[in-house]
Amino acid sequence: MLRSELTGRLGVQGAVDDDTLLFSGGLLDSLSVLELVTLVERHVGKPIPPEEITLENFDTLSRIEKFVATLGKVP
Amino acid sequence: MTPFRKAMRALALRGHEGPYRRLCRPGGGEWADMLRERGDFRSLGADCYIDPWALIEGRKLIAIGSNVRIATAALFTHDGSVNMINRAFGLKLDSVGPIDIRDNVYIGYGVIVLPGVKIGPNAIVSAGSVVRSDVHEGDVVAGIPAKRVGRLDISTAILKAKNAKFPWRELIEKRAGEFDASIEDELTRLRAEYFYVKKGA
Repeated sequence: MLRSELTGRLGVQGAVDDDTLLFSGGLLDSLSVLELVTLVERHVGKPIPPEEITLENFDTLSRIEKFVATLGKVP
Repeated sequence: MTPFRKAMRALALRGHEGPYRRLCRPGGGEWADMLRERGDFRSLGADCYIDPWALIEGRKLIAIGSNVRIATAALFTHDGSVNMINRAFGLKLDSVGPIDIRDNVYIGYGVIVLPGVKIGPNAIVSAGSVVRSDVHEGDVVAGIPAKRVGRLDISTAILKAKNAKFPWRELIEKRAGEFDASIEDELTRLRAEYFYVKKGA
């Protein structure tokens, strides 16, 4: 579900696999950060603390899923 | 520094900054150095750039860290509406608050920073924003009022990805400092070609 939302809402072009670098690979721009965080917050049902908005947690689909799992809800 | 520039700077240090600003057109680094020497602020760290045309009021209530860059922005420690209120209602009130700018902060063009705000460290305030509440460590904020729109580490990663594709990447890497007149024409040519001819944007 998260993958399809990314492709649709954020306009990520081309093949995006689990380890495609979304920000450091230049696929998403800085304006997408807020939208991506909002997407994830909607999935988990609570706000994400700013110190958790990092490349470590958001730069690939697998990292996002791993991070969301630590919040107690899998997308 | 030429004798004329030294003389104008000396005048600015004594409070007459107009001729120095208008005739010598100092850059932001040179201007910040003068302000630091003059002791305008509560504190002003190293490696700062302050645009000579930034409007900064109530400087003794403003603390600025290191590597802070302020474009043509406005920083206020006093809310002037209190004078209207005082006259309207026969009061004698004060409306004031400090501004605390931590290390590694960029304040963009047209930003308005209101009294009582902490910014940073490691933050960017995007052009045109109005800052009326604290900007937290690592945040990139924008808007009126300014709200978080990103994080500095992610913005930096995006910038790195973009830079990797620029044909002038090596020129930038070899450049000493932030400006080199000897390569500026070539840089301009390569950038224009990339964005307008080869449709690299």
